[in-house]
Amino acid sequence: MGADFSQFHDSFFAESFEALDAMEAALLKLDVGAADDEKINTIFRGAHSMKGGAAMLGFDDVASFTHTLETLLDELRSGRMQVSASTLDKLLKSVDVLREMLRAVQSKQPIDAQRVADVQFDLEQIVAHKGTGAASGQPAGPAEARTAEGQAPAAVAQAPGAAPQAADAGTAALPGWIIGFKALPHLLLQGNDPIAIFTALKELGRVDVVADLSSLPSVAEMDPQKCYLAWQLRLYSDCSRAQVEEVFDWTTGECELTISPATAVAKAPETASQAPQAAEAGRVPPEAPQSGPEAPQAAPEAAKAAAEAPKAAAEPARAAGDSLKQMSSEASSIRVSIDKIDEMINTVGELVITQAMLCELGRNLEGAGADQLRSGLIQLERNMRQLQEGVMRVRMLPISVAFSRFPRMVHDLAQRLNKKIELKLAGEQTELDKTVLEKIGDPLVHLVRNSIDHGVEPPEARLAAGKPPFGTVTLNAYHSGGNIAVEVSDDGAGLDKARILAKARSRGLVGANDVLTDDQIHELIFLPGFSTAEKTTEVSGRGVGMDVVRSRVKELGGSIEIRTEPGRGSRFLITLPLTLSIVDGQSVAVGSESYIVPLTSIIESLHVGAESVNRLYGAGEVFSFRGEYLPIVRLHSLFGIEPRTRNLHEGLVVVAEGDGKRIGLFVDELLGQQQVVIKSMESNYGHIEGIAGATILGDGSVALILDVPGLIRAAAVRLAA
Amino acid sequence: MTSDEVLRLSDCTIGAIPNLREELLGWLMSVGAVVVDRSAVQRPNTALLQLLAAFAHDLKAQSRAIEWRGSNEAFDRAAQRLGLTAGLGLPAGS
Repeated sequence: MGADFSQFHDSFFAESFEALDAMEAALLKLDVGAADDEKINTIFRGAHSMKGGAAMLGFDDVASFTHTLETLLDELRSGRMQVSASTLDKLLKSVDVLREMLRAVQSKQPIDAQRVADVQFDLEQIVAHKGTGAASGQPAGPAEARTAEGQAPAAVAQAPGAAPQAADAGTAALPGWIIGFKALPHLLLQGNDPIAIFTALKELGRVDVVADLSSLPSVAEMDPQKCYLAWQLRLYSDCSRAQVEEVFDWTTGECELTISPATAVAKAPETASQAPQAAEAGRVPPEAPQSGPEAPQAAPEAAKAAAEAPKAAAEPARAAGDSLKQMSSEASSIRVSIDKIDEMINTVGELVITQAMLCELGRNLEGAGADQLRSGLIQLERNMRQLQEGVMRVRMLPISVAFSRFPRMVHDLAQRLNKKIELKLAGEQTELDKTVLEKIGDPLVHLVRNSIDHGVEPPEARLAAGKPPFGTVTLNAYHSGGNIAVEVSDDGAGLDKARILAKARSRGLVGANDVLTDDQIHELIFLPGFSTAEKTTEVSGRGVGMDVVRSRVKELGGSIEIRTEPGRGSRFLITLPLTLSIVDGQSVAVGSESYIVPLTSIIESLHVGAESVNRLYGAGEVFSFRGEYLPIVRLHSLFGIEPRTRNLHEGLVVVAEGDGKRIGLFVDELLGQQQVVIKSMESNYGHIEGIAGATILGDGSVALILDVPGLIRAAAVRLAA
Repeated sequence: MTSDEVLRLSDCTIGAIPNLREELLGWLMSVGAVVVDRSAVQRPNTALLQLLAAFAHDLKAQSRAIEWRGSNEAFDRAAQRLGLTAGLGLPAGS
């Protein structure tokens, strides 16, 4: 293929990874021993599409592997084999291997050839030993128990002692197809091998093969990596043309292929007369087919194939084009580079700032047309919001993208730990910003691993505790206010407070006489390096998990809470912002500066009288708010600004919440609510506790966006100091 | 090379085929039958069998032949699938 298909690589990889996810999900839902055509078809289609795309784009190793996988899947699909536990295991491994291969090819890294060969060999063995139980784990079927690979199925099925000729006569009476297959020279270098194709063809029925060696040069003259052979194949089967074509689908663009009904050829005497001529054309006489009757009919196909050669030669490019067309037209969506979307979002962000500036100008405008301008600006603001929401939605993906890895992970971990675990997924269609989604994956993996390793008890312990042997791990996502909540819960043993506390005391994290509330004890598991695991396992226990989980969630502007009950299980609740780039904010004034408090963090704003304020040792200024005392953080003091007032009753206290804790932010006054575009400061100034970023306001001034959880932490540090 | 020597086929990936071709060219310069041991071939492929078919044909043109040693079911099956059993001079029953 001379065409440059590199422009299709990205979509091939994206679609192949999606296909693998779908295959894996379907595999995990397959019941051992039960026929489930729909799921097997889903898996087959995934492998088939990947094979076609890989072969077309020249990813030969992937094409070769998927062809082998497809052969096994076809056995399952046709009902010739049943899904055994070991077959299922091999199929899952195949998905893993394909994922690794695609990643390697994508990043232009070498493929682990040994691992690929091992799994490919296993797949071939399952097919080779189908019915024997040797590789598939299935009991041997009496008819196929001693099947020799070279034997035709009809011969195997006959009664012992029956004459082979009788079977031949029987199969010869079957309708079928005459197939002319001439490999183009580069076929072998593309990773295609006629042996595998003819093996697959044999699954449709008995096959007689006549090789045409007429183009085979001497050893001295040949390029041994090129293919010089052509074949005539007689397939005895009542299968459809489409089934035959499907076998050769893999070689689209790599061969000249003709498929004719066998009966039609048999009725054409003039073509039969050409047989000797075609046979003589070969340097080596064509090998006699296993059954004679059809051989003379097969040979004329060479002439027919030759006549059709120019047409067939034009096929590769067209076939490749058709395949690509199919790839793109099958979906009702288009793939757009994330860079392009981000560029668009940035532009929209700038528009939001410009629009805010115009609104600010319009507000103070007097004279004729000012009202009309303001009306237009209001309309502009409305349209801007719609545009912004629309653009942000482009970046949103269902959380099922992050959840999809868990069925496999839970399956494998449960198997490794000898636990019985059911995974429940809910709210999979809840949408989340792509960046948030990508970054939340690892924390969720940590939590689910922990639930399986530490939370859910072994079956015997569960039974002893009066629980069902199957533990349940649930992943649930839903909208909560302006945020997205993701819960990871289990019905396991719950956190062991006594053990956590003892561990913390032994490590000097908690004083021997310190009295901690339940929540404070639970918080200890988020300390770096904290683990109560008695032994470090492959799964967890190194204590590098929960602190990383919390810091990742915080980096995303989210928070994490724990709810746990001894013997009943634990629930980790992660709250995440919908998006990272635009936030609905409340502008507040402190001195001559403006700050933005994210609206989702604000509970209430109120005047606080001096009578409500107390000074507590170790807690600074606190005020009574709905029955609890909240610390007051004076923003002017925190940021070193001269305020308009230092008297609490002359300003306002904004009650804000983060990480499950509340705080009162003392400000001079509230300004207005607006959407602001978050501009990161970290690249220039590093991470500043309490600051989420900056934004440009309508008047062109810069305002800092407050990170409430960070402020709460900063306040705690200041008080402790 | 003498008739006492045996051509042992082993690694036969398509990447290794050019080396085998060089080796076969050497064998074509020798005399007598060529003894080929196929028992170590793990994954027979079309490139290998095609090369051996050309080799067998070249030998035949010199009135020589391949004498097959060892047994290898996968090899024989692959030859049969490709219709090359006779061309390679493999035993008919293999």
